[in-house]
Amino acid sequence: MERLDLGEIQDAFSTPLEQFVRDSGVRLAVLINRSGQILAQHGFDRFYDLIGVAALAAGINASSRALASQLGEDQFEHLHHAGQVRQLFLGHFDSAAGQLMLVTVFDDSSSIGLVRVFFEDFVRRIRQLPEMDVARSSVSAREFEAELESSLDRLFQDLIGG
Amino acid sequence: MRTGAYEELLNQVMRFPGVRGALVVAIRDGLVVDGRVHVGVHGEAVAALAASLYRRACRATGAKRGQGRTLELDAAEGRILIAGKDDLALMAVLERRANAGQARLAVRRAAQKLAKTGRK
Amino acid sequence: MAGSTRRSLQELSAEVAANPNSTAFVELAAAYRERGDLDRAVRLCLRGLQRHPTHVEAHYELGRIYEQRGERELALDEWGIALQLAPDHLPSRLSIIRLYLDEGRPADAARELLLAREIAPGDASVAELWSKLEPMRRDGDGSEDAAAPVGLFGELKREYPGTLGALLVDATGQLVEGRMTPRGVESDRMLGVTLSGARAEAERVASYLQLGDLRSVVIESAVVRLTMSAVGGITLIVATACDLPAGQAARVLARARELAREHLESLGK
Repeated sequence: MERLDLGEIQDAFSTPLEQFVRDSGVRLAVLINRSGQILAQHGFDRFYDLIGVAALAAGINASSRALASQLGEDQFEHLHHAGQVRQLFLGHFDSAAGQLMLVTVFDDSSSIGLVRVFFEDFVRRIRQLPEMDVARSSVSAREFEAELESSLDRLFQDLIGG
Repeated sequence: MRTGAYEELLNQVMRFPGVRGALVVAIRDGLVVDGRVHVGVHGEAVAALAASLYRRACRATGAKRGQGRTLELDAAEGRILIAGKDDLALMAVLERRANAGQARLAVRRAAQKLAKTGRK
Repeated sequence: MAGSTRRSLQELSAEVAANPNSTAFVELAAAYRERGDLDRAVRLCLRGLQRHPTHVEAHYELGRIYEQRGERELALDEWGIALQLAPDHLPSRLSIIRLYLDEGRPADAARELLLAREIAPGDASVAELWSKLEPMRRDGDGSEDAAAPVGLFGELKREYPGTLGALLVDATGQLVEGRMTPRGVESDRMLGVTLSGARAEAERVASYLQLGDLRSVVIESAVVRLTMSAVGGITLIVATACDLPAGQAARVLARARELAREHLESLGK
């Protein structure tokens, strides 16, 4: 269940994503949510079908969660696929805006070691965005309202039920 | 960080005062194969960043397969020494007070042994 | 090692076995080396140096063992360390000179002989090696000089034989000054661009790992040592022969930095 309208904070993701690309030297980076919605993108290889990549990445993530569950794990921290020339990294993380996933494509100008190190920095920056504080407080306010309504419903039900 | 197959090699480097970490690193991936680091040294970051620099240095100097390189990064608060050939390298993180000459030699010797034994 | 007072192998072995901290391992290693048991000699020296890492004679002896094994680079390393620990250690200096003469490197040998003559002006071994050097210098075709860099860093090579060249490269990778012997200008430009990128990446590494300001980056192959440092915002790249002792290489870099600073000031950079 989405706890927040991501459109409200989408713009905030670009800067951390650009920093990640600069630091790690990856060619393409795409930030998506669990549904495969593209939240931010950055990179050189603009001929990629980003929507297709995002949808496939969301599918891979769902499959890997199922596989992890079979193995008794909650979830794998990240996935890495190495091709002849290019490599793919998928890293997901929880945030106040729901579960998000970073998909990156890189070649010899980077390495899986660099990507992993700077992915951690990226996640930290996302979680520290001021917009995430708004999201957290919005989530709290909404949750409070939902609980209040639910309590009032039960109260009236009891009263009506007698 | 647990050590395994390269424990003796790493110990030979770590025994010098001022050496805060020794790592065997897969150069292409920038990943730690084996290592020993003191608290406060982020071994994975050292491995990833230093491997990237080392790869660039090898390319810049035209290193071919079988040709080793050593790289030394000297900064105000410490040093990083890297010696390797092809797929693996030996890295050491030094405080400023460390005897760089001795550490350099230890790293080179360890890297030579690494090149002979290869991946375990 | 002394002749008439030399102890037997058994005596030395017993002493080292009884007391692992004993420095008799040096004499024992020499004895094994003289017998041709080089593997044992190396192991003994390396083990002894673990306990006595600053023992000059041990480093010198290990150099002799490596030389006998044909591992000349390692031999030079060990004698270099001996000289770092004790710059006046003549046997190490003479060993380096003999190796250079064997390899037909008169310029390198001459440089070391000048230093040896300062340490021991009347020494017979030094005089003997000079006499071996002179014919080599007369017969030399001067090819080293023919490829010597001129201009700003020409002075550097004249002062410090063993310097191969130097470049100044700006932040965009453009060559400001210098030559790398025996490379052409285009090759120098390519090298400058790629290496200035390496220095920038090294700054990032130093910053991320909280190592403080970057001072220098040294890249070494079997033959050449490249040292990069910043002079203002300009990258200085100095190439020296790999077997130049590290202390000497540091002097070359310091002098190159002086020359670079003066040149950049004259350009108003």
